[in-house]
Amino acid sequence: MSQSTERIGGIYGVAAEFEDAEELLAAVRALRERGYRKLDVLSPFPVHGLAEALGIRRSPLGWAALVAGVTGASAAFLLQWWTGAVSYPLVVGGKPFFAVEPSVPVAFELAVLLASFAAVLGMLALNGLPRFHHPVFAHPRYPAVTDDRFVLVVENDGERFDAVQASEALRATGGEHIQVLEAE
Amino acid sequence: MATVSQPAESPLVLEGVTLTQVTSTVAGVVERRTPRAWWFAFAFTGSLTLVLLAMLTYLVTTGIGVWGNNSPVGWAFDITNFVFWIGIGHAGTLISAILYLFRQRWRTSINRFAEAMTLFAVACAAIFPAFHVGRPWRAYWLFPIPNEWSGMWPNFRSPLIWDVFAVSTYGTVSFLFWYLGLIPDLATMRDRAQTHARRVIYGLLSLGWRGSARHWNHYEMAYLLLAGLSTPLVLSVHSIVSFDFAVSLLPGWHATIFPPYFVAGAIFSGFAMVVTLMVIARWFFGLHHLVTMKHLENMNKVMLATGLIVGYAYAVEFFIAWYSGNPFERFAFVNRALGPYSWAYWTMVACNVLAPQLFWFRRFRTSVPVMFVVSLLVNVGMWFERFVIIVTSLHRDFLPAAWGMFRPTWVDLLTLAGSFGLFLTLFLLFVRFLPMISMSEVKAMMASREGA
Amino acid sequence: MRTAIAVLETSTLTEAGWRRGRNLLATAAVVGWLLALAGFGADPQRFAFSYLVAFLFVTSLGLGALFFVMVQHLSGAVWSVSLRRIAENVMGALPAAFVLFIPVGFNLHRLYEWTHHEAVAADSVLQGKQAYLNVPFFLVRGVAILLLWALLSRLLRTWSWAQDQNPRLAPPTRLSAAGLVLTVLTVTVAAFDWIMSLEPHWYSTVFGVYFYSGSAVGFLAAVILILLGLRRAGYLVREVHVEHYHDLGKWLFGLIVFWAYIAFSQYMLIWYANLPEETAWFRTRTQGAWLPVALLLAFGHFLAPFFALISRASKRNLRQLGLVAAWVLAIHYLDLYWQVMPALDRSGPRWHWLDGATLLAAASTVGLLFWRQLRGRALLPVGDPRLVRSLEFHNV
Repeated sequence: MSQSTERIGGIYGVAAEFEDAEELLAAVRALRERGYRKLDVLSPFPVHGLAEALGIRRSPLGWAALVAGVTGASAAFLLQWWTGAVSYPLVVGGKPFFAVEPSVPVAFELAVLLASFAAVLGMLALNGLPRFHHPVFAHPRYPAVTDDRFVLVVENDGERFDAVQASEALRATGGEHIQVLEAE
Repeated sequence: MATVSQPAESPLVLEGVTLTQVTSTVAGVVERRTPRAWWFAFAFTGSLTLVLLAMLTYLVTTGIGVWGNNSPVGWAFDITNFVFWIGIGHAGTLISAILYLFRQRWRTSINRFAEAMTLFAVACAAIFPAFHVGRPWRAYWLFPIPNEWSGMWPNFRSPLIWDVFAVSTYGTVSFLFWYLGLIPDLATMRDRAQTHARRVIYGLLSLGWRGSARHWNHYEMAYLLLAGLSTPLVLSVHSIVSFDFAVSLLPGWHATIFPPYFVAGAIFSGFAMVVTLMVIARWFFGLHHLVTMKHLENMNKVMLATGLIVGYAYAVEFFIAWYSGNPFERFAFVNRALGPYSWAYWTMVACNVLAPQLFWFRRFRTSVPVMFVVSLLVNVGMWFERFVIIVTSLHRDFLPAAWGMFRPTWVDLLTLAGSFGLFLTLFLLFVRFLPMISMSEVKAMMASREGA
Repeated sequence: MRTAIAVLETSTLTEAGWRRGRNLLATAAVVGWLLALAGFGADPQRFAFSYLVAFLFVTSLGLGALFFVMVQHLSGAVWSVSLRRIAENVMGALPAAFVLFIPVGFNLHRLYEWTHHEAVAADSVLQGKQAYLNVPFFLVRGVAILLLWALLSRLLRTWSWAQDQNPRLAPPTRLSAAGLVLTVLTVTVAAFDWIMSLEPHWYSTVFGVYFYSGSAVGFLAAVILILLGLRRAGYLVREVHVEHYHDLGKWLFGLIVFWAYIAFSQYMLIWYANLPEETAWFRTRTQGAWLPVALLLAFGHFLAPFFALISRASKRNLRQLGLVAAWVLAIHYLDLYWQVMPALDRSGPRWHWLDGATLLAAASTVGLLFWRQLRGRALLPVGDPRLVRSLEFHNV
């Protein structure tokens, strides 16, 4: 395997295909026991229990949405107060220039709008998407990942990474179509 | 927060279906050659859309007077259609968001379909107020953006401006929610693509999704958050639509029950539309093993429940009109039931309150012809509900000297018909080019069933 | 079924413990009623109003329980099975409202302006309402409503107790569906009659929904506290675990938001239209010393619990959840107090020892009925075939 490490860019990792989720979960646990920390799984749907097995922490997106929501509501109150009571005060229907009661609906809508954008854009940012090329796309079984198969990737985690050992480990846990993926 | 736990007699995905069959069934609809029937349907709805365009062009070039609205009935078909379409749009978010939070897994096969319906319904709805402003090329004044009259801002104390914010937020968030759900399925379409063009288009749309576990982790959180945000949003949108009426002093419009009553009515009409369209799509595309009788039955139950809430609101409104002791309130309601528009009122009651009572019986809940007819009746009834609220309250107000009648013009009628054309055209494009059932969610549900 | 039987042995109150609880409640009831009686002698008007608030408070908790149990049956929920029996026991105390209504019935003249002939004679609006607002019809409605609630709670409880012996019993879905329809209608009538007609000129179509949503909030807070109390005493520790509390927290959160939505809509629409006959109600309740109470409601019935429960961690921290539940239950009482009391004290709240005494009397009476059902009976529905799945239930 040494010749591929010398190529420009080096190795991204080693990937193998698994047929079902149970087998995959067992493989992930086994590999983590053997000390492989940088693992990733490609799957057609979120596999229950996989995040825990991979040691992925709970996503912090909720906080981003909360901050965005509070910002949206505050901005809406500010906007309504400034336009209605400062910049363009106009008596309509005998209502005060600014009051909390009629300002709530717009504040609510802007809170939801900003929080939703924070959730979706935050998800894309944290996931590094859009990204149209990725080393895992080179795996011969990749297209099946969005159908019904699972691909487990042992990612290159530095100098001590040995693709042969990783391949062996994957084979031992029942992986098929084991392939070394080159980095871009 | 509840899980449907009915025994296996009525499964959500029929036994023996494999994951890859889900992919091929759903993606196959998009990949197959366009069926001839689709072209016929498209030609028909496309023509109706052209009618809509013609009517709107006529309206803009001639003036708002081509509609039948006139003093005292200043709001008529336009606002009726607006509220009707916005209401239709509520089922999508309800199914996607609220049922998701309540862990009602039966939503999985129908949520994509209903979300798409939401978007198209909101698009149809937005047309009406935008053109009713009279000069639609100035419609951007509704947003707080600096304009040529420097220092002039929208009146935020008006519920009509709240509506602008509510509907545009709703449209945007519904789109985000729908698109978020589509990403993994677009990746599936990309990976199955046989032509270069398809691969590029679906590839760009899928944003390079590769199904990594780390991505799913953030993805699921984002989905949960959007569900959590859309739930109060869907309540707020029709509540704010109801504020358009309820903040006024007009008998028949000013009632504190309007917000929850409008929301229930919106869900009611939205579910009716989902049932109408789903029954057709299921039959036409052969989706019986993914959209089972269980889905249809549950939707009918929701229609029964929301129909009862709507009936409750009719009753309470009537009672309070009497109880208030206000002669104008009393008259407004007596006039609804016995006045010149009583035919519309009783159509509404028959379609919205009486027809869904059939769904107390399982035999009718699980009969496709019965549910199809009832769902059509509810669609009609809910349109009439908005017509009754708007027109009967306006046509006879405080001064008998100012009373009048509203009669729709041919432009009113053709514009309404044309909006159906636009809605159905968008729908046909959707079922032709995008996976109409969420493959990744159905698969996740099947996997968890096997695990359990 | 092995799990269920193992559970049965550890989740029934010991006889000694049960007796201790009963004695405590019985003492509270005796003290409460004696104080209330003394208060009635001293200030019958004040007694009537204080008592009405207490009656509405304890009744609303039972109504919330009835709602919760029927919704669980209708949705076929699994997660809630292990705590359903406790909810049913709160619901099972609802017939107490029938007895507790008697003092209300005898004090109508002190409570309701429309019972005063001279007031009605001088007021054409009240004359118009006489067909509905008259003493005999009011009492007939009250008795019929309370009978219906008592019947529903009995039927649902009987089913549940029968299920302990016969796990194959089909869930009472039809009863719950019909029951829910009837309850919504009768709760509306109750809210109109008992609270809204205190200010007989005022009307709000959403008032029934407002009262019902508050009842559901109160019940959720109460059931969390009851479960945590049993947990501290060593019961239902493994059977009702953090996942169940998490879901109860979600329900509480959702219902608080729903209550706020209804309360805000009602207030905003009346504020905006500014019709004299409608704003009068809110004007009284947001003026003088009532204003701080109204603001406290906005803060304490919505903002504070909203932010306290919004994170996942806070719903799973039993200490924090318990504190929020206790706060919400107290605020629910305040909500009813703020609706009722301004009919008596226009200028501001005049806290009175009778408020506490009548609450003690009413709550301990309901408590006794609740407690009676715990004797020698399992604290969870041991016969329910879904119990095992409920015990294994896990939030995603």
